[in-house]
Amino acid sequence: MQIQPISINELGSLSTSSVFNSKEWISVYDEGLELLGIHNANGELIGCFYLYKRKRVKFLTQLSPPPYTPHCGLFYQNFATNPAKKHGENKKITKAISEYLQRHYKRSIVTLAFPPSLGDTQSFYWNDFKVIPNYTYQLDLAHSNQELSAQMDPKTRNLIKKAEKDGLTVEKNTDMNLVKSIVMQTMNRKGVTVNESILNNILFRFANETNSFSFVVKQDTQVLAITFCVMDNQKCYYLLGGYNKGNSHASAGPLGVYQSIRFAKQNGISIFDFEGSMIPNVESYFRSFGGKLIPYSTINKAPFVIESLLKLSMKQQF
Amino acid sequence: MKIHPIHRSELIQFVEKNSLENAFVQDSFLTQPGIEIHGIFAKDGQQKGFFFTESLPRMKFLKSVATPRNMPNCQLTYVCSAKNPAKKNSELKNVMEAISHYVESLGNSIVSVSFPETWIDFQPFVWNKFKVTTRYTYQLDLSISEEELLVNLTSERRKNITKAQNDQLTTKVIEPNSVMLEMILSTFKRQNIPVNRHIVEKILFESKKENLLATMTYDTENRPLACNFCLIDARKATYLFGGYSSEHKHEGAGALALWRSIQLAKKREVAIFDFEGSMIPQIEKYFRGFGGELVPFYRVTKSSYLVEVLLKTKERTRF
Repeated sequence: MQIQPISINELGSLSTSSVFNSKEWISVYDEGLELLGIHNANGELIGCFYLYKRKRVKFLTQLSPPPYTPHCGLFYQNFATNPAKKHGENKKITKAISEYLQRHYKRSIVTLAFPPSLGDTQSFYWNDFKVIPNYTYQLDLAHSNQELSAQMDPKTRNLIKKAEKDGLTVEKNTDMNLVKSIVMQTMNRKGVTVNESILNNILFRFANETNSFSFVVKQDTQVLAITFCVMDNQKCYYLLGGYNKGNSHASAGPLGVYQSIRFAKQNGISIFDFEGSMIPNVESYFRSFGGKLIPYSTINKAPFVIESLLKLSMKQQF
Repeated sequence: MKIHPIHRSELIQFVEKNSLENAFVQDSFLTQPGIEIHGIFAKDGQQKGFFFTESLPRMKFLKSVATPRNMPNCQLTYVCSAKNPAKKNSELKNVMEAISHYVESLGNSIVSVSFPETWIDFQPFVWNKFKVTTRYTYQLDLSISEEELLVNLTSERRKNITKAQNDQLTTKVIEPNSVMLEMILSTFKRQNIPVNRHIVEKILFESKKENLLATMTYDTENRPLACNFCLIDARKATYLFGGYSSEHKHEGAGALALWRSIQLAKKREVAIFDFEGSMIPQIEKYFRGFGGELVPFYRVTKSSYLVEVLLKTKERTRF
């Protein structure tokens, strides 16, 4: 098994259907992204993943998933049918990734997340990576609208009902400038740094009717909240959201999310993914929609001294 | 939610009242020195759950609260009242939050506890600055037919078993005896794994017969070659110890003893055969050959900054 950089055009030979492995999505990142191919013993391309490099304190490089992407996009084809052989193949791939990181990024900070589908991270553990779970909530859209509503926390359900009573409306939005404006406002309020160039690429270059949608919640003509989701054939990811502080209403956010869930369902999507829920306030909000908590693996490693220093502020990770 | 130490009798009462089946809830485990039983209580004082820890010395001058030795995890059991999925997630989160504060309050310098694979929400531990790390075990789904179980083995493991059968090795269900004990202890010794003889003795000879599954493989001259010891309850068979004779060896003896245990567990209509942790590369590879599913479970760890940096030099993946 070999890991080598590949060009974006080579992705076409892989049967991945994930939006995060599409050429259009990967093209959102003009710089900093290293696209890697996983090749089998015959040199055939069987998978891919990517690393996003950022500079940390001038002399350090950090490898992580790209901004607005929940994981490193790992995809590979495992043709083994025997369960033990299948595990063996999985291990060969993760071992190759682990060794690639060791060989090329020994002096970097690695904080990489993998998709929930990666169930085996032992090779990383055996190479001294710390394997730590992160979480997202996922809703199974096979349930009826009634069931989805019944799964919610009663408080959230009541907020949605109240939105209707208070005359809030929710409609499909195609104005990406509006999404940008509300999202930037929300991020600024929370003190979260926004990579505006990537955000622009997502909203104005990537987004189209087939891969994303947005809803806006209004009261009369006033914009209260916004949602922006990306999707593929199977999953819909709640990528961005925000509310207008000048015109806030407690029911606006839940109504926008609920409408996004219903829209995803109408479009035949099987899973609505809240795309990461590790911040306590955000987690409790997403939890109230009644989804299933899904763990996904992160691997963490840095040179010993750096790890010891990072431990001062990120004890749970290093 | 409140947590405090409880007496064995309170635990037994809770387990019986809620018809809970757990092979580790018995005197052979609970009367081991250092084992602590903790009860989880609702606001109204009603007991809702339990878990176990063990106080262990570390590096001579440190004390740790850890997963009890010879238990794969702390056996956290909780009877959840909520039915609504969102409420259920919240209730289980409250349990984890209460445990994260409680284990820290026990005053030991190191906390390192593994949880059953059925518990996946460790966010309260992350938020309380614990390190949550992933560990793995292999589990066989015993609802499939014996033929399917056999097909799922790797060819290497199948060859081991076939060769043992062709060489007329036999496997018998036995009551644990001194031969088995010595075989297990000498195997641990050969692998340089420290083990407490007294604890192994207690588990082998004092566990309830209905919870035991012990097999031994013999050669044509009736000499014991390899053994296997599992603990079994209504839901699960858990592999605890294995061993082989250093004097009389056969490459298929161990695999045959384990395969026989799997067959017996299936006959007892148990849903899962658990290989009880597979984090050592050679052991993982051996267990992988039986075709199970790799199942993650989580361990929480916390200590002071300086102790963590010190321990990191030895166990980087944990600290």
